[in-house]
Amino acid sequence: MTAVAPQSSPSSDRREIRRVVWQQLRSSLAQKAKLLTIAVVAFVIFAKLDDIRKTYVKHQEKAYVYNGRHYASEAAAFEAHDRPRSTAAAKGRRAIAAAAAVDLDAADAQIAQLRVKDSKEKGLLQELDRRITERAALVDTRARRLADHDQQEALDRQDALASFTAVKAPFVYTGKTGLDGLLRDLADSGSPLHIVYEILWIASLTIGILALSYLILVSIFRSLPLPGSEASFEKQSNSMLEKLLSKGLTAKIVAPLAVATAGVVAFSGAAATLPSSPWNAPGATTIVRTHVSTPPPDIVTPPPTTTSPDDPVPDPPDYASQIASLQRTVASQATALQAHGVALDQHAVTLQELGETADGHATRLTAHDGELQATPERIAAVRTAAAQLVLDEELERTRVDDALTANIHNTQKQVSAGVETIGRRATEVEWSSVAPHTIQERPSLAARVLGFDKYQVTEVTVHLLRTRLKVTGDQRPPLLVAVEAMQQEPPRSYDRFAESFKAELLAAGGDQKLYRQWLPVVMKLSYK
Amino acid sequence: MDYKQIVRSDSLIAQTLETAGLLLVPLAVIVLMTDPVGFFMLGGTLVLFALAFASRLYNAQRSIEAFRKMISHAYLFPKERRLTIKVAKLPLDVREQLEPVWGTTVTYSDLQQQLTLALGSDRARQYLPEALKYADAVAAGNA
Repeated sequence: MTAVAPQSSPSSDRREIRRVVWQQLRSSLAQKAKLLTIAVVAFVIFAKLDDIRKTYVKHQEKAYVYNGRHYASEAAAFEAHDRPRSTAAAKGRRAIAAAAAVDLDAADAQIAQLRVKDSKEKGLLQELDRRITERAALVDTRARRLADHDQQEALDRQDALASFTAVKAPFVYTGKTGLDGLLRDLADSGSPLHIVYEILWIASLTIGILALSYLILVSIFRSLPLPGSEASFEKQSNSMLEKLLSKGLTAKIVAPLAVATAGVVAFSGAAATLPSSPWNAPGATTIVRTHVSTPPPDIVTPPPTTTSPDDPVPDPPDYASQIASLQRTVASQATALQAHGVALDQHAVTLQELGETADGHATRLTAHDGELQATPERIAAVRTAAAQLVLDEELERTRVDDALTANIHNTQKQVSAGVETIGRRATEVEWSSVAPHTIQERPSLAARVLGFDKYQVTEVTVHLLRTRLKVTGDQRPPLLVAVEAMQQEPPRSYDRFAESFKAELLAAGGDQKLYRQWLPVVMKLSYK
Repeated sequence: MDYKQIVRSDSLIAQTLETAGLLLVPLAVIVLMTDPVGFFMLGGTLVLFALAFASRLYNAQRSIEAFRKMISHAYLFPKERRLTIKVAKLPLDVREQLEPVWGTTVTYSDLQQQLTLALGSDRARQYLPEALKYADAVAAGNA
């Protein structure tokens, strides 16, 4: 046994390695491209099937054509066809009702006039009864005429319906009649061919999802350390693809899964949908379906129409029930009127009784009038007294405000004086305790070299200088005058401060010797 | 040297780059219908494929180096390891093929050839690394 050693040159080895790597890359990409193509084709088929179904459902919603417009049912189309006649009939009905309304209004007005008359007038109640009876007769006449009109209208409608035929629009998807018919049967959930549609729908969805999942997971699977790694994933997936492509839907993994899923779902769907299914027999368990199934059109009793703008004909009103309701209302109104007449009679009797006590009321009203005439004078007097009271109160308030203002002013003066005293004493305390420590501070060497030290004459400087010079009373030596003159100046550097001090000192009567002698002291006292 | 049998260029990175590049192609075509940015996406696809190729090339070099290192040694199978539990768990046909090598020193290629002839290429590729776990690598001249 001997070891095998490579014999070829390095450059040819590199070329060979690149060639092998390129082949592997190409093989991997080809496999992925196959999976991607399968996924895309499956999803395209799926989308197309879905589109066919949506088109079919939309077509079923507007399946009937009349005068170039689409309608959901033959009944809706008939309503559109019958609209001129039904509109004319409705107008006639309104005219009958309006004519009756004029007579009824006149009768009501006469009844109202009789009601306001004196109830003791001879023959009034009899006249009122007669008018009410006439009014009830008018109501009955109106109801009869309306019923006749409705009956005639129903007969006309039946005649129009018998001569009407709506055209059912053909399902158009591809424009080819035969293919469109097949697609319609595929998409119609009531057709036996619909099971093929469901199988294709589920199969395309399953294959698309599996292929896409395989494509995405291929990178993970191929990098796993599976036993027999060369034959692990690439070989298996290639084998599966070859089988899938060469033997149609007989691949070992995808096809059984897709067929099983599609079969189960399609079977249950078809069994639940088809009219011939035993599951749909009376008493069988109801299975909920998500597909839309269009009910057969019922012309005699049209279903409630929606408010879609494409449906031009509304539901016909139920005239019979409305008339019955109207008759009931009129009858109840007649009864109410009779009751009202009786009540009016009772009111007349009551008024007569009340009239007897009217004289007493008139006497009391006269007395009240006298009191009312005197009332304005009393009100004026009360108002004057109230105004005087308000004025007095305002004057008193003003006086109190003035006194308070003066008091506050005095208090403020006292407080200001106190604050000033306290401040002065505090300054003295500071000068005598804190300031001596402060003036012991010296600028650091670095601050002096770099020019960061600043000097300014303050009250403390003046006070300490005054203490050091032992100045008392009104004595004002030139040194003190010069320092006090510098009190308003801003902080300055050493040189600028010294120059200013020299100028002020000479101006105050000092000399060069005094300047040189006191400059260090003033600088120490003025270091900020 | 048959590089086709030796070179292993697959890796998670290479596979991911290839998948991303491939998925980018239809996306780029769709985008290209409305926007010229699709050209840049197609360029990105080529870049991803180039990176995948580079990654595969790197993996190939490493696999060849590992293979060369493996075949540069001979392998001594000590007799006492024949009775270990792990060896006993190997399939019977594999154990039968290993019987002659206990107590001897063999080269990688000889052992591979022997197992390939007896077990087939797939199982030989699976159990050759397993068998080498019980051997000690020695200098090639000892074989």
